Amino acid sequence: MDINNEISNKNNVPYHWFYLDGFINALNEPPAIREAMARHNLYTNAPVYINPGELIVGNLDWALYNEPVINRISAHYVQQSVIDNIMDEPSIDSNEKKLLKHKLKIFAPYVLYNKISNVLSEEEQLVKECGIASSCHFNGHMILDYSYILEKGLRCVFQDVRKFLESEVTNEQKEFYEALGITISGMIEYIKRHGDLAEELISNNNPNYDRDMLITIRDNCYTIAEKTPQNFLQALQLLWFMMNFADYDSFGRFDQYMYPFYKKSAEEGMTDDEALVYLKHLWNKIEQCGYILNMTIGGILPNGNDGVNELTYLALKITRQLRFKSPNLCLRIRSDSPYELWQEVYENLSTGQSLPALYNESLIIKIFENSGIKSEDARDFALAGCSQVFIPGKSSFACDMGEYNVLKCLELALHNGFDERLGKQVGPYTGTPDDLDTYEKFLDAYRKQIKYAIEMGVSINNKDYLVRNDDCSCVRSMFTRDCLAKGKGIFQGGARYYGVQNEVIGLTNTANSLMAIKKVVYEEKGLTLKELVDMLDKNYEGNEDLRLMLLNRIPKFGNDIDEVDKIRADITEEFFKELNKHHAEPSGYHMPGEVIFTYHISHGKEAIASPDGRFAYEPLADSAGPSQGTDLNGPTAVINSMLKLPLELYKTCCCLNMKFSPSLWRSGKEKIISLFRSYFERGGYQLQINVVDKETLIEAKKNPEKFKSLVVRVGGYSAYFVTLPSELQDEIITRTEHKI
Amino acid sequence: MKSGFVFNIQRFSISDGPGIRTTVFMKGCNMRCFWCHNPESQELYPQIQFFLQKCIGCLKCVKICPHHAQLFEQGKRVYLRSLCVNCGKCAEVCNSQALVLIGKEMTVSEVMEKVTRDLPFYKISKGGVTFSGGEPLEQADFLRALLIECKKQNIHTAVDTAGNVSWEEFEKILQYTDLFLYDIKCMDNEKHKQATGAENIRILENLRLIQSAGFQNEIWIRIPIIPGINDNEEEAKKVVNFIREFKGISKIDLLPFHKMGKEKYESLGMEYKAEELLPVREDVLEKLVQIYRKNGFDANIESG
Repeated sequence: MDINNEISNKNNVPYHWFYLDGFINALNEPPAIREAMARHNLYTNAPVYINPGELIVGNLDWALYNEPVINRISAHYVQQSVIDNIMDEPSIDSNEKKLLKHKLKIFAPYVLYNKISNVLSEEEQLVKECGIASSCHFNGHMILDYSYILEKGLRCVFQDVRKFLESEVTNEQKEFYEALGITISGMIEYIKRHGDLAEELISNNNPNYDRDMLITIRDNCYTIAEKTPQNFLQALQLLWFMMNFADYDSFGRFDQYMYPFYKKSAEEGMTDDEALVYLKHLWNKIEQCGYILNMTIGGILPNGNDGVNELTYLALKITRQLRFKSPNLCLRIRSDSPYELWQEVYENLSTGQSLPALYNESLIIKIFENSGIKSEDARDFALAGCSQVFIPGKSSFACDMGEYNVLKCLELALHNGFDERLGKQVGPYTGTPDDLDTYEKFLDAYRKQIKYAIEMGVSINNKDYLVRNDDCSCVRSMFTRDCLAKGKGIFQGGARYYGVQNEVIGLTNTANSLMAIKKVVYEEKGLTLKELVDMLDKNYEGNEDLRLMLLNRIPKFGNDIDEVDKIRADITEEFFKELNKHHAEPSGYHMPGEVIFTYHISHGKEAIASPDGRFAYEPLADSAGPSQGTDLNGPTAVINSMLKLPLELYKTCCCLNMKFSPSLWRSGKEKIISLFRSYFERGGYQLQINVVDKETLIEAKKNPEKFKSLVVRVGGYSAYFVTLPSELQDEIITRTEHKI
Repeated sequence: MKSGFVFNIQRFSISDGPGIRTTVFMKGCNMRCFWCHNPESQELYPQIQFFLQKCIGCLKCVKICPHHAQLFEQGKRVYLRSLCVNCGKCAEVCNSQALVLIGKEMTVSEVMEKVTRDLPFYKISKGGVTFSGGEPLEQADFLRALLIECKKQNIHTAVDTAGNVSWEEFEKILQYTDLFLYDIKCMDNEKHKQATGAENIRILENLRLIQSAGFQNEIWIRIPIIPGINDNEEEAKKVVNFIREFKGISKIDLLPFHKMGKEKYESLGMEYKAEELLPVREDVLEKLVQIYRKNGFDANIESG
C-alpha cells in the first residue's frame, strides 16, 4: 500500500470542521469544556478508516497533517500552509473557504503563538529575533501513563472520572472532571466506531479486505472500548488508539508495560514469530503516521531489578528488520548490561540505520535522584521526542522551552552587545574590543552577555508556561499523575514533576573560539581583538590564511587536549549554574542539556563568522560533541574529551554523534562494543551511532574539509577517508556498496 | 636513550594486536620493500611532505625558507627538494597544511603521556600499545625504555617488526614484549633481497632465536601478500614448513597489497615502484589462507 497516496486521497476530508466546530460551538463554555467539546466532536464525528491489510487501526494523524487548526503537543496551532492549500484548491467551494476564514478569525485568539506574542516585551522579542535566547513555544513532548491505561482500560478510567465528579469538589475541579469525562467518552466512541466499521465491511463482504482480519479488528475494538485488553494484540491496538488521542507523541517504556500482555498471550500459545508480526503492524502504523515517535526499551525496573525481557529483544529485532526511521528507538543500557544485549545493539547498528540510540541509565538515574526525584520514579525514566528525559506518566518536562545560542552571546561580547546581522543593539554594553585588553576582561564581557541571555530566556519561558494557565490539555491531564487525584490540569500544577528542558546550543564552537581568542589575541598577541573582530565581520574575506591558522593550529574540543576541553567544561558548568539561579515556572527545575535536534543549523544561521574558523551562518557543532571535522585523534579521544564535561549537571540529554564507516564497524565488533562500554563505565551520557553509507563517502570525497574525522577501514589498517588518494577513495566507495 | 623519532601515534588502532590499542609508529627502517605502505617511515630523520593541492598560495614558505628550496616561479609553486635540509621552517608557517614536517623527536615521557590517555580502553578491551614503524628495533634502546614504562603501568605491549636487526637488539626488548607481530615477506633469499633490499637469513634466524631464548609470550606472523613475490601456494607451504615447529605462534595475518602509499610517495618526492602491481585476487587470498588453516594455524585475511 502506498501510504502517501492514501494520505493525499484523504486531503479533502474536512477534519477541521470537527475540531473547529466543536470548539466554536462551545465558545461560551469554560476553556476546559471548550477543548473537551472540540475533541469530542472530532472523535465522534470525523470519518474513520480501515485500510486493507492492516490489523491495527486508527488514523487521526491525517487530521494532524491536513488540518488548518490542530491541537498538537497540547496547544492550539494554525498550520498556515494547510490553509493556503485549501484556499488555492479550486475544487473547494468559495463559500466553504469563506466560512473557514470566518471560523479561523474566531479561533485566532486561542492560538498559542498569538497568545505568547501578545505577552512578550519588546526586549524579549528582540533577543528572540537575535537568537541568544528563544523558545520554540512548544510545550514539550509527553509520555502518558500507558501502564495505567492498559491495566485499567478506558471504561474504568471513565468511571473513576465520574466518581471524582460526584465527590465534593470545587467549581474549577468540577469543570476539569467534566472536561475529562467528555473527552474520554469521545475516545471510547472513536474506538467503537472502528468496530462498527469493521462490522459493516464484514457484512458487505468487501472483497478488498481479509474477513478474518476484519473480525479480529472488530472484536479488538469492541473489547478495548469496554474492558482491559485481553491479549497482546489488543494491548497494541489500545496503545495505538492512545497515540491518536495523545496527538502522536512518545511511547515511553514499551517493553515494560506491554510485557504482561505479551506474557499472557505467549502462555496462551502465541509464538515469537506471531508477536513479531503484530509488532510489524504497529511499526507500520508508526512509520505511516509520519511523525517520529520515541520509544524506550530496556533498563531496570522501579524496584531495581533488571527489566530487559523478550520484548526488548523483539523490539530490537523488528526495528532492524524493517529499518524505518521511526520509532526512534532508545535503549537504556549500562556498561555491565549482559554482553548479549550489547551484541544485539551492534547487530542493529550494523544495518546503518542508527537505531537504537544508547542511554546510560546508571548516570541518568543518578542525576534524577540527585535532583530530588524518588528512586522508584527515577529508575522508571524514559526518553521522549528526540532524546529528552522524562518520568513517564508523572512528569511535564517542557522540551526546548529554553533555547540559548551561546556562540551568539560570544559574538555580542566581541561587538559590545551589537548584533551585526540585525544591525541592532541587543545585549548590554560590555566593552569595545579596545577596552577588553586582557583575557579576563573579555571573559567577563562574555559572561555578562550570557547572564543577559539567561535573564531574558527564563522570562520568556515563564511566560510560555503562564500563558497556558487556562489550557486544560484534557488527554495529557487525564493520564498524568497526579492530575486526576488533585483535580488539576497539567498547566495548573497537577503533575507530579515539572521541569523546563533547555537546549544550550553552540558550546563547542564557543569553547573553540575562546581557545583561539585566548591564544592568538592575549597570549601570542599575533592579532589584536579589534583586528580579529574586523576579520570576522568580513567573514574572513581576504584572510583565508588566518582562518586556516585558527582552524588548523588552535586546539579543538574532542581531541583529548586538556586546555580546550577544560574551557568547554568550564563554560558549560558556568552556563548551567547561572541558569539555576533563576526561577523556572512552575517548579523551579531547570533541565539544561544538549540534544541539539537541528538547532545547530537554524542557530548557525544567526551567527556571523566565529574565531574557531567557522564561516558566517554555517552550522554549529552537531550535538554535544566536537565541531564537524575537527576531531582528528579518533573515537577514544572524543570520548575522553566528553568525559571531562560536567555530565552530572546535565538534567537532560548530552548527545554524542559518532560516525563509523561500515568496514571499520564490521572489522572490530568486540573493540567497538568495548569503546562504548568504556564511555558508559566512566559516566558517559548517550551515544548515537552512524555507520555511514556510500552517499556520505561520495559527499566526503567532494567536500573533504567537512569530513576530516571520518575514519575508514582501508586494508588491515584504518585511516581518515579524506587523506586517502582519489583512486583508493573510489575503490572504497565501490567496496562499501558491495558489502552493505 | 630517552628519546627517539616517531612519525605518528594512532589511537583506536584495532588491527595491530588484540583489543583497542594505540600504535606508536617509529621512524627509520633498514629495508626498502618496493611496495612499502609507509614510505614516510623509511628515513630516521624528519622529512618535509608537500601536498600541492592544499596550497592556498600565501607564499610565506617562499619568504621564510633559508635555503631557497621553496620557490614561486612563473606562477607556480615549486619545491626543490635537493636544496631542502628538512629544517621544517616552512611547515611551521604553513596554515593550510600543504607543507608538513613528518616525524619528530619525542622523549619517553612525551610518548607515554599520549599512550596512557587510553588506559581505560585498554583495560576494558584487553588491548594495549603497539610499537610499529618503520622498524622499531632500529631504535631498540628507545623502544626498550618505552616498553619498560608500559610494563610498569601494566600495559600489554606488542612490537611490530620486520626482524632485520642483530639479535642483540632483540635481547634488549624480549622480556618486556607481550606480543611480536613478526613479518615474513618471502622465504626465497634471492627474491627477498630483490624485493626488500635485504637478505632474509637474519630475519628467519631471529624468529628461531626468539623461540630458543625461551620467549613465553605470543607471536603473530604477518605476511604482506605481494603479487609476483609471495602470492603463490608454494611460498605459503614454505612458510608453513618453517614455522611449524615454533610454539608461540598463535595467529597468522595475511595483509594483501594495496596502493595506499602512493600519494605519500608523491608528497615525499619519492618514486613509486609498485604502480604496475594489480590487487591480489580474492580467490588467491582464499587459497593461501586455507593452506595455513589446514596446517592448524589461526589464519585470517586482514583487509577492510
